[in-house]
Amino acid sequence: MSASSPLLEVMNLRTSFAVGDRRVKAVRGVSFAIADEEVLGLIGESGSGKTVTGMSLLRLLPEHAAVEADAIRFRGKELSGLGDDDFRALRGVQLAMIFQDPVGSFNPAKTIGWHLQHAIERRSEADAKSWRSEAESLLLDVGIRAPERVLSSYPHQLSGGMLQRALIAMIIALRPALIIADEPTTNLDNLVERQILDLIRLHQRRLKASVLFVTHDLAIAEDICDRIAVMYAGEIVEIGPAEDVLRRPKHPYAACLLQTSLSLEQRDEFLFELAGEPGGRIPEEGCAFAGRCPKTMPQCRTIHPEMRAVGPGHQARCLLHGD
Amino acid sequence: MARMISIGRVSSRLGGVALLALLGSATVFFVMRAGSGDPAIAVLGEQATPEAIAAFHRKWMLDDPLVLQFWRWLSSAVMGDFGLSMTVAGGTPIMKLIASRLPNTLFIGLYAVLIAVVVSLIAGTLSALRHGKFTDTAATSLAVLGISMPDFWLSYVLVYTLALGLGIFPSYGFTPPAESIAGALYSGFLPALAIAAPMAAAFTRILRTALLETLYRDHVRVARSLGYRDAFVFVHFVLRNALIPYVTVIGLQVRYLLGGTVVVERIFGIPGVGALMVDGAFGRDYPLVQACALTFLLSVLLVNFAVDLVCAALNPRSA
Repeated sequence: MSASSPLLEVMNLRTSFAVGDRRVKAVRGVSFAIADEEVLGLIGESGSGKTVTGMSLLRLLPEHAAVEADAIRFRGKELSGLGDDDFRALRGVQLAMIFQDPVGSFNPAKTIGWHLQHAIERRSEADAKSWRSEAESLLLDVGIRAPERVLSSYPHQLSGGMLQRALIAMIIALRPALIIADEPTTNLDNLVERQILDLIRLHQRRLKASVLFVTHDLAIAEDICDRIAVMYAGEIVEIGPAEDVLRRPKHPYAACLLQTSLSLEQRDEFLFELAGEPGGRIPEEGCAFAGRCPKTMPQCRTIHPEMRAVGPGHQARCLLHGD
Repeated sequence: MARMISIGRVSSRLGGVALLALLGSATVFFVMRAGSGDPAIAVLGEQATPEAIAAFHRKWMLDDPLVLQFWRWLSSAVMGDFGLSMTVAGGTPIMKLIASRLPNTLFIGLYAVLIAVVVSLIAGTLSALRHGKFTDTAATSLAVLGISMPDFWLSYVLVYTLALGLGIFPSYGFTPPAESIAGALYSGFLPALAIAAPMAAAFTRILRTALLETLYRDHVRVARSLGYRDAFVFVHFVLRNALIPYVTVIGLQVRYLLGGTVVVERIFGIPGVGALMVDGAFGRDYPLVQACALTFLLSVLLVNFAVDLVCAALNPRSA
């Protein structure tokens, strides 16, 4: 693997779902790359295709979903052609995922110890005794002070924050190269959210892992991400270094998102509100955002904009920019 | 499983079993007496002299107040004494009759449950995993058919095709398990199958539903994201969590075994408690019917009790 080759490279990812006789396109040609030890944020409204993008990469979608891509390369190796069994072997130990709902992430019939034991054994066939001490040190690593008690607890006996810590402990046990974190703190209260974010960042660095961090919260994204990709209606509309995208957004949608977020932070009397709703019918031609965009031009309704460079490592999909 | 089911809960459930057994017995007792017919005439015949009938009534104390008769029956039944049969071989102890026949009934019942469980585990799993495909449609249609077929009708169809038509199985008669287990498995197959069919159908449907509900739960997706093998994910994350509704339904269906064995034992000539109870009812043999009914009642209650314990053990939230 050459030094310049990214850890993960996705080209033109398209995911659609069969709904009745129609096919609903959830992801419409997403391309991005994640470098080693990089945290890439994927931000956007609900329904913009962030989660589906993550699930598509891990092949976790149900059967009625169709996933296509020109290329999905992991460490330079093409994953698209990989059989289900070979792909399964990569899951967990190379590509792992942290989910939104920590409570639902655990098997309600089994103890946390059972979960950790199997995660540890998935990585290496540890003998029956050694998993326990490893599990305890993993739980200490994620800030759980009474590991023995947590190991023998069932999921329903623990809080969401505790369970998210335990799930992170399982992921650490597997030592993956890429972690897809799908809104891992959305269901947690603010204080716990901070702690979990710190934990993710700490272990990302320790493991030298890359993270695809899916969130709708710009403040979190700014804290944790090196680069940010903004998604709208199944497309990436802007991608670049976190600071550039959040401070000097080029795409009107990214600018609107930022304004909404600032308006919330400053407790404005009148919240900035983006007109319309996402997820409606996407026009056949032109820009998907044209209907809600404050800067729509007539040609926006007919020409579908391509990604254009708007700064160093910074691209946007808007006719306002580039030639 | 390190969890213990609390003693207090077990004893209160056992108390419930005892109370239900008492209520059930009282119902059978008073309904039997309320029905028409006189055991004296059933035993002695239509031509019996009034003196003979009176003597019979005196012997069995049938003219005492009903409540007193019930109390007399109850106080000895609690001690395990069901008295003598009015009809069978001039007063055989009922306990002895039941003891000799209960193993046959239990054998057929367990055999039927076993067939139903094996069939439903396979059919329910296939049907859930191939949801919406041909296998699923076939299994679901068969399940509807299975639920709609009355056991007596199915018994005759099985006898007509597999026994009389193809000659694979005997059409009548039963080798008790006490004589030969292999013989009992062979001769008991058709009757067990006749009882098992509707149960297998009901079990398949509930397992399919429970599996489909579990298959798309988050923890299954998480398990797959960790790279566990499909079989491991299915057994520990999917099936394990679908077992609670499945076992509950098995417990509920056990009461249908009761009706099933009564009918099927008659059709196939199996000397079981069901057939004994039917004979008893025709002969107005009050104590015999009473004892058989209590036997069935206790079996059903105890099975339900056991199912509750299994469910509690399966579900960590209930502990």
